[in-house]
Amino acid sequence: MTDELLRVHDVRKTYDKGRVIALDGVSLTLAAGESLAVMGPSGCGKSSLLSLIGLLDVPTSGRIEVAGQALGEVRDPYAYRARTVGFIFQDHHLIPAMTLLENVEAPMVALGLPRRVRRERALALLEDMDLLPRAHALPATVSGGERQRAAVGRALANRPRLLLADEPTGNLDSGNGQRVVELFMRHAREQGLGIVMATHNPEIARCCDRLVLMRDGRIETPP
Amino acid sequence: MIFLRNLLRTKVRTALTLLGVTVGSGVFVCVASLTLDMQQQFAHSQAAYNTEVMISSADAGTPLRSRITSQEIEQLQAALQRPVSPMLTGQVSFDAAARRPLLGIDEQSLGMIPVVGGRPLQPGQPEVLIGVLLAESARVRVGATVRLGETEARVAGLFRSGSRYVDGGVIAGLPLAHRVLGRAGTPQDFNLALVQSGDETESARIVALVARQFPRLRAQPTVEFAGILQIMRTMEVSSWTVAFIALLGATIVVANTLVMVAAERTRELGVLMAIGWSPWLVLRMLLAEVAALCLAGTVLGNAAAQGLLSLLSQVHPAGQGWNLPTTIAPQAMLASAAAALLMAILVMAWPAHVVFRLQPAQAMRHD
Repeated sequence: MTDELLRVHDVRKTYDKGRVIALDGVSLTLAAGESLAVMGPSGCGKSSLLSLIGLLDVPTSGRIEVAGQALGEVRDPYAYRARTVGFIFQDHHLIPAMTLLENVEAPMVALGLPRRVRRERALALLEDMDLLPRAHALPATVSGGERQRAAVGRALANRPRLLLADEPTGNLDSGNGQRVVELFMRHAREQGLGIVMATHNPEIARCCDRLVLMRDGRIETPP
Repeated sequence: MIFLRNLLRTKVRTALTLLGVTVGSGVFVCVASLTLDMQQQFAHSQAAYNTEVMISSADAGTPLRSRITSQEIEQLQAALQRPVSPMLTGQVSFDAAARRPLLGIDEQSLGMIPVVGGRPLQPGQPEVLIGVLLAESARVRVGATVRLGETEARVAGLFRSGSRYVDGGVIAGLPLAHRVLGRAGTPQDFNLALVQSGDETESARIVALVARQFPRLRAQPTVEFAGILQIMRTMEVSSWTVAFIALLGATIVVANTLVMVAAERTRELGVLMAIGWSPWLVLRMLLAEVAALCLAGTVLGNAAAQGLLSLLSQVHPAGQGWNLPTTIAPQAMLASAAAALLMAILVMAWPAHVVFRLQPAQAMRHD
């Protein structure tokens, strides 16, 4: 696993005119097909780090490269998010007015894929997530585990190179949590995706290839 | 049908917004149809006499206020060297009921009236022609005797001019019209004078000549006559103002709904942008919802306007001889559709402002 997918170099992120420091000189790397667990207490900067890698936010200083491309030079963050990264959030964040099928299709809409392709790919993912019978159900009518599995399907829909999972099992019981993690880990291995997973659950973190600990915006364990 | 599901998430609000658009669109279509029909009736009422130049007193706002003396008619004939037909217009109670327009015309104009039942008027007889719409609403037949104010007259025939205003009234010879309208003095006066010009060039010459030699009078081609009447202008402006306010009200209702949608669904919009949707794509989704509301409201508004006009046309319109249109004007329908489209685009301004400034990371933390 020498093919470097992600490089975070001395990244600093502050809020409120520098009064709040979310990240303080964070550096790490990730190879393609590798999974990295980021552990730490609430507010230690795990989610901020994922937001910066996903280009949901921009660092105050430092440099992040994904697949050799510096994120500071990305002109279209929407296209970057649609093509390169897949997000799995703690709260599934499915769109309530969309069925599970439509939710899984949603990222493909951003890529402008034809409807037939979107449908085929979304159905295949739902089948893989064991959600085919619930494909036309709205998120409000399915269980928490099913919602999160659908969210995993959505994150994988555009075949991203990097999966960013922010407390993906935070709202699930241990059984469902384990199942969700196994699902996206299996997909990641099959497709050679890199994974950065923020979690406070040591059992879930052990599923990853590597683990880093964060505290007060810094990485305690050398990456 | 994602847009439909989104709309149904807040059923009451959607219903109220739809009601707002329906009312706004309905009022617009109704007022526009009435105004357009009124303009058309005015134009037809002049064109019905196949006369190309109409002469009235220069200071008169309406034909009813215009006065031309018999002496001026003679002077006009001499100056123009062609026949000039004097014409009387007024309102008269018909069979002791509602007031109807009465048009008095001279003998040479009698043959121009398109009679569709009975026979044309015969000079010197106490008889009248009844418009087909008046005959229908008052159930008057050829040969019947009717009362015009205090005067009785026999119905010689029925006419159809194509103008609902004229077809809702009565045509009489000048002597009878003078008597009925109480203007049988010496010298006699008239409201208007009509001149057959033959073509546009001759019309222009007549207009210029009247302007030069008869400063108290004003000549206009009949096609322009209705449009320049002050009262028509005032009514037009008033009507279009009401129509515009109705549309503005509907736009504000829809805009308010969208502002609430943008606030309530901030997190959703943030999620969509986090998974790669561009602001334009997000706006397209919102536009589908707005367009559906505006389109449905416009269709319902048009239907409501049609129903209202059908209902109003059954009621006698204040006895002024006006016949309300029974169907909505196609132009009004098209204008309402265009207005709905414009409304949908205009109200997207606020969501566009919100979406383009939205930071997905912050939006997803939004409650």
